[in-house]
This record gives sequence, structure tokens and C-alpha cells, in this order.
Amino acid sequence: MLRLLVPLIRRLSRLGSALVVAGTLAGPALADATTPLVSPAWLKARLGSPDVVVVDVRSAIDGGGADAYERGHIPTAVHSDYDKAGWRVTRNGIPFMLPTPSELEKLIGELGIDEDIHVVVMPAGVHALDFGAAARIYWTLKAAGIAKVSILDGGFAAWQADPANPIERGANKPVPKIFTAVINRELIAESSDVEQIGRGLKATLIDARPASFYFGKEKVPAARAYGHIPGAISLDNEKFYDAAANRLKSPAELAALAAEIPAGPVMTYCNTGHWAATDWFVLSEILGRKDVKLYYGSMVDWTADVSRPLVSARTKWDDLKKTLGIGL
Amino acid sequence: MRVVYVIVFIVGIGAAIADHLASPSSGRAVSPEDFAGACAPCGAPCPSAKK
Amino acid sequence: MSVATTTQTAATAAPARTADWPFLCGAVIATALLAALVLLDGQPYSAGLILLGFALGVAFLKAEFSFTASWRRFLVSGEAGGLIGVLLLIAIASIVIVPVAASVRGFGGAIAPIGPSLLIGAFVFGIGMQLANGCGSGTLYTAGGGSGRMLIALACFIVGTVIGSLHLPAFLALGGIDPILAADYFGVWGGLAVTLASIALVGAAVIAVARRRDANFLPRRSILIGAVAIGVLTIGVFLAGGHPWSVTFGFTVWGGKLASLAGIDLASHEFWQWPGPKRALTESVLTDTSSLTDLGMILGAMAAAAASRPFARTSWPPARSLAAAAIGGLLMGWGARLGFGCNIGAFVGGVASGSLHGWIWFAAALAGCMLGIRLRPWFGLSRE
Repeated sequence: MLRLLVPLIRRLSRLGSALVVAGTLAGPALADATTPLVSPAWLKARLGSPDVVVVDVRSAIDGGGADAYERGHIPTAVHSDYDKAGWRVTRNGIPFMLPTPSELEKLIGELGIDEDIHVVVMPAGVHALDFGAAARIYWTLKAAGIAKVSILDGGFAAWQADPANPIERGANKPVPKIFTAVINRELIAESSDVEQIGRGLKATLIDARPASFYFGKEKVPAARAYGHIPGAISLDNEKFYDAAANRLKSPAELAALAAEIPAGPVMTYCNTGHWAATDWFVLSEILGRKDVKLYYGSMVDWTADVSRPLVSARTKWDDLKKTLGIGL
Repeated sequence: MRVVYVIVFIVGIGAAIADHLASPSSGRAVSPEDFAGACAPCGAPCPSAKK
Repeated sequence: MSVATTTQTAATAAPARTADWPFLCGAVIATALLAALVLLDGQPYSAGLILLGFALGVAFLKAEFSFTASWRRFLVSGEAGGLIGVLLLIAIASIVIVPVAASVRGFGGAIAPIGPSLLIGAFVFGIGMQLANGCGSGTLYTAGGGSGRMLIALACFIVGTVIGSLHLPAFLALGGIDPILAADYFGVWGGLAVTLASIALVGAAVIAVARRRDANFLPRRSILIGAVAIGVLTIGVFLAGGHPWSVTFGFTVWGGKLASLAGIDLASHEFWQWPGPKRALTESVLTDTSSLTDLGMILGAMAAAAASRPFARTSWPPARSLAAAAIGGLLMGWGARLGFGCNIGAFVGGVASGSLHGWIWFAAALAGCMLGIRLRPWFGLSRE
């Protein structure tokens, strides 16, 4: 009897919410329609709701981690270190890959998340880099089949900015749930998909890295070669981020920045699928483009196979400068 | 004649170095197998290949 | 009177052993610089090729190892010493090149299709080498050694190879047969045996001709030493580069890059779409084996010349002689592209690889030399 009633009650409450006028992102709307970004006020109104799980993803990349979480976090939030918890795994010697379905089920389930939960990913909110971390986790959750995911706009910094927002100390131990991953292939690009672009598959490749990486003037150590994948357009993820306000730019500005991208399928990549997650988030979630995939292996995966082509403007002078220690 | 040599020498070596530094950095060395099937070191195709 | 005599004696007794330091140092520093650049680029074999080229430049200059003069003397008077030295050089090189090219992965010999292109190219090269007074190796070591005349020949040689590159595909289309390699027919060691036998046979024929014309056929000491040294260095170049020593492809690369710089679109020409030339045009000059040994050889000859006498202190020869150098250079360049190389790339490289095209190149080039020798007096050059 209860089994039948719970989904019914849920459905009725959703119907009720849908009848309420949907507020703007900034407004404390009571609508339960999931938006990719949620405001601190929206979150504050729902703290304690059993359907919402706040995942604090602070890690070394924003100068935080488990310690920062214990010193102060959003009430009821659980911590999952972006770097260490297993959101990106090493497979066949290639780091920062998407975990396997069973790894995802364990990782996500242990945070108390299942298919019905609305997950709010909370970055530190101090730099474009930690936004990217949140975007990568957002994408991972969606790729694993979680339908309702949002990122806290402005992160913990925005939450803290309002002294009226409560802050909790210590650690919340999540109550694990059984989560069955249903991989959403529409969001995921593998190297084999990218290789198809050269052979008839029409798609735009977006390189989310800064220009110096795109042109081959520098690279990350884990990538074996310099340059970008042939045909890729450069769209630095930092262009989408308002560094002063520490959040994404307005949808209008984002649309203008993405205007030059031709219509049709898109695949974003960077070095390890971190920066590219921001590009993916903006194009797919904010701007609502269809068929946007994240090539999560990115350059580290692409360059692992020396037979894959690369385009680069790097010269031997650049190499010489690097050997002499005066360059990248 | 000496002056000509000085000029040619400096320009020549300078050009070789400039060409080298401006050339693309390659990830791997080119192997002879890249030109397999050629009939001469310059890569000319074999007469039999044309028929 | 006695003062004048003393002065004159002093002038003629002026030591020829003082080094021309600016050019000696310049050559050595340039060599070190180029070697350092390729070493920093992670290419030790490329550095090896520069140094081997340097040694070749020294060897050719010190031994005055001239293919052109030795062939001319043989054709005009039957004097065979130089030519026997050349055959000795090739024999030494073949001992390593034939077996290794046939059996070790990553190594290849100098091969070429046999047809009109080879014949015409070699013949025209023969004419050019006698007009220019130098062939592939000859132009390099004399130009490097301080002859302004040969600098002109080199410049025109470079231009000629680029023009030849544009025409080669058309000449290849005239037909021909695939390369004929001794090792393919007689096995690795059988191929070497056949190669050495062919060299011995030609040597015997050369000696027979010399005898008939009452001429000497024993190489003088410097030629013998030069032949051995150059033979060994040729083996070194083969091992470091993976294929036999080549001279003219380097010129084609230099000329191609200069032409591109001048705005000429080479990419639309078939030659420059073949993998070797296409790659060479966009990559560094210091990644081409032929270019590396060419640079090394020029610098080595310069260093050797400057080490013992004033460098480039001679006056320019008359305009007619310079004209011969220019025309000869152009003909050699054009002929080398059609004939798949020069005396080094096609003849030494071909025969030492056990490829039949090497001998055919030799025969056609000798015929061209005969014509070239007849034309020499028009330009004020000696017949012998």
C-alpha cells in the first residue's frame, strides 16, 4: 500500500509545483523543475529535503579537501573529493578516465544517491578550475543515469557570502543507497568516436584549453605530444567564466561566445576532460544544444596512441627553449 | 672572392639554422618504412606500380 | 740587387702552412653549432652524418679526389689511376652496403628504375660535370674549399635540381623497368659476390684500355689513401642514415625551400607530392640525411683548406669559365634529378648497393663526359 502511495504522492506534488509559476534562477522558486544551476537561496529553502543531496566536491585543486569540508560546509552536505574519491580513474595506464558502471554505482551509491535524488554539486567557487571540477562531476552523474543534477551557482563562496546562510562543522556520513547505473552514451565520446569525425561523421570538435595548449606551445606532462586534434576549434573554457563574480557568465553572453560553433553534433575535449566539462556544460546544459558529448579521455588518451594525428604550430625553437629550460 | 665567401657562409649557415628552428617539432622520428613501396630514395613510384 | 732577391726569396718561401683562422674557426664553429642543434633535437645519428660529411670534405680535399678529372684523363689519354681509385672506393663500400641493405630491417640500398629518364639524366649530368669541372662531390669540396667559380656551379646546381624535379615525372612516364638488385637474384652473399665481380670486371676493362693507350693505371698514393678513407666514410654514412650517401637530394631540398620562400607553389607539382620531397619541404633541412652530409662536407672542406693556406684568396677566373660553371651546374642539377642522383648517389650508391642502374648511369655519364670534354675549349677550359 505504501509502495503505491509514495510515487503517487510524489507525482501529485510535482504536478502542484509545476502549476506554480517558475521563478528565475535567482529567485527562490518553489518549482521542482531541475535547472543546471541553482542559487544558494534555492538550496537554502530545500535543506533537509530527503530528495536533495548536496555533494561538497572541494579538493586540492581549489586548495580545499576533506579538511576544508570539516571546518565548514553546507548543512547536510556530504563530501566527495574530486581528486581522490574516484570520480576519475586510471585505466590501461591512462589517467582521469570515466569509471566503469560498477565503480560508478559504488561511488555514487555510497554518497546516498540513487536515481530519484536531486544532486546539487557544490564547488568551492574560487576559480574557473573548480567550476570545471563540478562540471565534470555533474557530467559523470548524468552519464551514470542520474536525471536530476545541478551545480550550486557560485559554490561555497557564494553560500558563505550571505551571513544568513548556516554553516555546519564536522562530517556527515552518508547513508548508502542501492544505485543502478544506466550509462547514457549520448553524453560520452570515446577516442573511436573522435576518430570517426575524420571519416564521414559530421561533428564539431571543441578544444577547451587555453590557446597556448591548442597551438602546441605547451602541454601537460601526461600528454605525450603537443597540439590539438585535427579540425578542432579553440574555445577556451575560461572565456565562459566570470572570474570577478566567480560564476558562469550570463546565458546571453554564453550564447554569443558559442555563436561561431556550427549547428550539429559537438564533442568537447581538453587535456583530461576537466576544462572540457565546462564547455560541455555550457553548450549542453545552459544553451540547450542537442548532441553534445564530452571526450573524457581528451588529449591524454588521444596522445597515448602515437598513430593518432595532431596539428600543432610548435617549432623546434620551442623545443630548444624547453630543453634549455627557458620555455614550455 | 673572400667577401663573397663570408657573405655566402653567414647567409647560408644562418638560413639553415633559421629553417631548422622555424620547422615543426615532430613527436617521432621519420622512419624509412614511411616511404615503403617507393622505387627511388626520393619516393618515385615504380614503373610496375603504374600499370 | 741582393735586397730584391732576398725579398723575392722571402715571398716565394712564405710558409703555406699558416692557417686562415677566420675561416677555419668559422667552419669548425658552424659544424659544432649544427651538430649541437640536432643533438638537442634528440637526433644523434643526424649529428653523426654532419661529422661524417665533415670528414668526407677533409678527405676529398686532401686527396684531391676528383671524379671529374680522373674520368676526363681516362677518356682523353687513358690515364686510369683516378678511375681505379674510384672503383676501389665503391668496392670497399659495397662490402657492407650490399649485405646490410639486403638483410637488415631499416636499411635500404640506392635503387632506381631503368629507362629513358636514367639514361638522359646521366648523359646530361656527364656533359655538365665536365663543363663545371666538378661533379656532385667535386662541387661540394671545391666550393667548400674556396673556389668562387665552384660556388657559382653549386648555386646553379641547386637551381637545376629544382627544375629537374618539375620534369622528372614526365620523363618517368616515358617508361622503364623496375630496379634490378643483385641480392634479389643471387641472395645476400651471392649479390655481394656479383657486385664485387662486376667492379673487378670493369676494373679489368679500364686497365686494358689504359694499357692499350700506354697510360698509367696505378693510383697515386694520395688517391689510394683517399679511396680507402672515403670508402669507409661512405659505409659510415650508410649506417648512420639507413641508406647510401646521397648528395643531390640535399640540393633539391635547399632549392625547394628557397623556391617556396620566393612564393613559388611547388605543392602542385607531382614530385613534391611524393612522400620524401613533401616531407623534406616542410621539415627542417637538418632532418634530411643528404642535406646533413652536404653541409658537413662543405664545412669540412673549408676547414681543411683554411687549415693550411689562405682561404679564397685567388682571383675570379674569366667570364667564359664562370659561364661554363653556371651552365655545367644547371645541367648537372637537371640531369641528377632525372638520373636519380649524381656520381655519388647514383653511381657509387647504386653500384655499392648491387643495383644495375649504377653501371648504366656510369656508362651514360661517361658518354656525356665525352661530349662535355669536346665543349670545354669553347669556354676556355683545357681538354685534359
